[in-house]
Amino acid sequence: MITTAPTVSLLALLLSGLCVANAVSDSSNTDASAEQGSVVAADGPESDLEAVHGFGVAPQNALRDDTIALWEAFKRDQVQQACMAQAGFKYQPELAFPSGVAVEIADKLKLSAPQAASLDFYGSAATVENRRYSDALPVPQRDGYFQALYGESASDMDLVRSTGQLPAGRADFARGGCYGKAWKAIPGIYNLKREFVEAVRAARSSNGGNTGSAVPNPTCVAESGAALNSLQDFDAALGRGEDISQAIEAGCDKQVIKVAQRARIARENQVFVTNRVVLNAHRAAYKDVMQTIARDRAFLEYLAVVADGIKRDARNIELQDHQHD
Amino acid sequence: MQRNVWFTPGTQMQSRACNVFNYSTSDIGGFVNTGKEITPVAFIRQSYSTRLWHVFADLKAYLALLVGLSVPVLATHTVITPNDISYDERGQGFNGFRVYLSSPTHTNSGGRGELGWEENINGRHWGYYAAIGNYVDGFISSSQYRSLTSRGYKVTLSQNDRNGDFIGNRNRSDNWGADVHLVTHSNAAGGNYFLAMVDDATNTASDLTLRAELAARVGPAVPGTEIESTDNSPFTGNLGELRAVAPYNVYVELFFHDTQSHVDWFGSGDDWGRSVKNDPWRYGWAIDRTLGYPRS
Repeated sequence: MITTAPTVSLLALLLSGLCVANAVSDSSNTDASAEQGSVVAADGPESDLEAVHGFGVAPQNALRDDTIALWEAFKRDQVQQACMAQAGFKYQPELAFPSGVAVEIADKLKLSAPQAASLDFYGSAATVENRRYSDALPVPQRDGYFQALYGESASDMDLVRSTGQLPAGRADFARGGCYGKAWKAIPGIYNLKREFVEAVRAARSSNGGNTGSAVPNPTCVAESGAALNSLQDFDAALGRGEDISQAIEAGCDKQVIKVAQRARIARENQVFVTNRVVLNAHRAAYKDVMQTIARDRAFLEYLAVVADGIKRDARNIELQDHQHD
Repeated sequence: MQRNVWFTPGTQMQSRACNVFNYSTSDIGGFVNTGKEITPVAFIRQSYSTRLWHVFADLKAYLALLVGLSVPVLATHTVITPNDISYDERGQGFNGFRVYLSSPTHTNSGGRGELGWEENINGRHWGYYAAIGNYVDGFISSSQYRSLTSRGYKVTLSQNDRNGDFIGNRNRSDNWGADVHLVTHSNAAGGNYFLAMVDDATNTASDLTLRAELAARVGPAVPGTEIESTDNSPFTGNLGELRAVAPYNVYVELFFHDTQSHVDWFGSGDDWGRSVKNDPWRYGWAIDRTLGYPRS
């Protein structure tokens, strides 16, 4: 079984930001290594909004938010499974969450390997199993299954799956039943952020980092001679099919990005000040959540099993390495 | 006891963790490595032995699963796969916004008159290059502007299995906290337009802004006239994929997969999908303009 003490310590490290250097920011994509020399690092402090769960931008805060969101998805699955059992149906938790993010979190937490797998189905395998189970039910029970799961009829579920279209007149679909109960019980870390969508967008908008005449460098121009004083200018030049390589080589884009970065902090602080009461209430509600996650053995064991299975299999195969675009 | 495999078959977690896609002519499957550029060959083409090749594709993806977190993996953007794939920002800090690129999940993908290709793959292929493509206007580029991730976004590219499970995509997008839920399909019935749609009843100013930017930035690069519309319109019925809780939710019909000139633009034959080397960066352009070029 997993040991939770190291996990608590690792989560504490994540909370304190000491794991940042090796956290989410270094795990990007195909050619990240080729870009290490061109990273445009932000300077200065975090905004006050960063401390509010769900609003994280800095690597340790984004990882915190992803971890909480993953845990909440897991908890919703538990609610949903219990609800379905109460209705007389089997339901395998699917953990509807981007799988790469889930595995990355497991990896960052460095959970110790479980002695044995304790779960039958994971992720897409659970989805397949749930489909197999529901498809095998007699017609009346199958209808009851989808009524219990989503508050929808089996015929409507079949229609939606086969056509991609909802029944006529329906504004939404498949948000009732046990699924709806789970979301009602756990609205989630991003519920508040969604309410603040325009304020957050405005605060994080850089207006393209427009440097105006403050960039006298004559090399910061497109092929046509058009000035490249903002991120919009760069995109517009690309959209016209113009060569901007001279300006890129001269670092003009990095100058603009630096200006764009500076715009955010002060504006986010203002959002926090203006909405201090509701944001602090949200933060208070999540105050101890990372410690709670650290003590949630079912959740940690789930992640440990997943990560261990992948890593164990990884030792069995080699593939030739070719860089893809 | 079910074997301890969560992602069956799949590769997505490795890509987020170690950031390397790898192909060689010795790999199982159908890719030709031409240096930095990978050209998918005809193994996914429906007019050939589709089922057999899907077996190869699944095996290829399964082998990739076995590779694990810290070694090279195989991409899945040119196959049918039940797995999503996630990417972090690169080259600069996370800008605070998560983008979920939802691929088609048609149960009859490949049998929808796609002139030899698959709608589910078309959408995912485009989304892959929008997320991390190195290309701008046909050339490999090192600029900051070529993809969503190089603009600071975290991106998840959904599964595209023939399972009709767009509700699963919606649920994953909702749980992850996506700020943008952007659906990419290719159209049918021989039309000649690019279509960007929002929900007719529940659209918001956010949705409308993104729709307009997609039409203005992506539309001109795609064959046909760009049209901004809604579901429950002459163009379509009551689209289920416009119901994610992400504040920005738009559904794109990129091109007509049964209009030959459109297919030629997208890329056909041994150069299938070549348009992805030119124009998916425009998704980043449209989203950046919608959100005001957030940078951290």
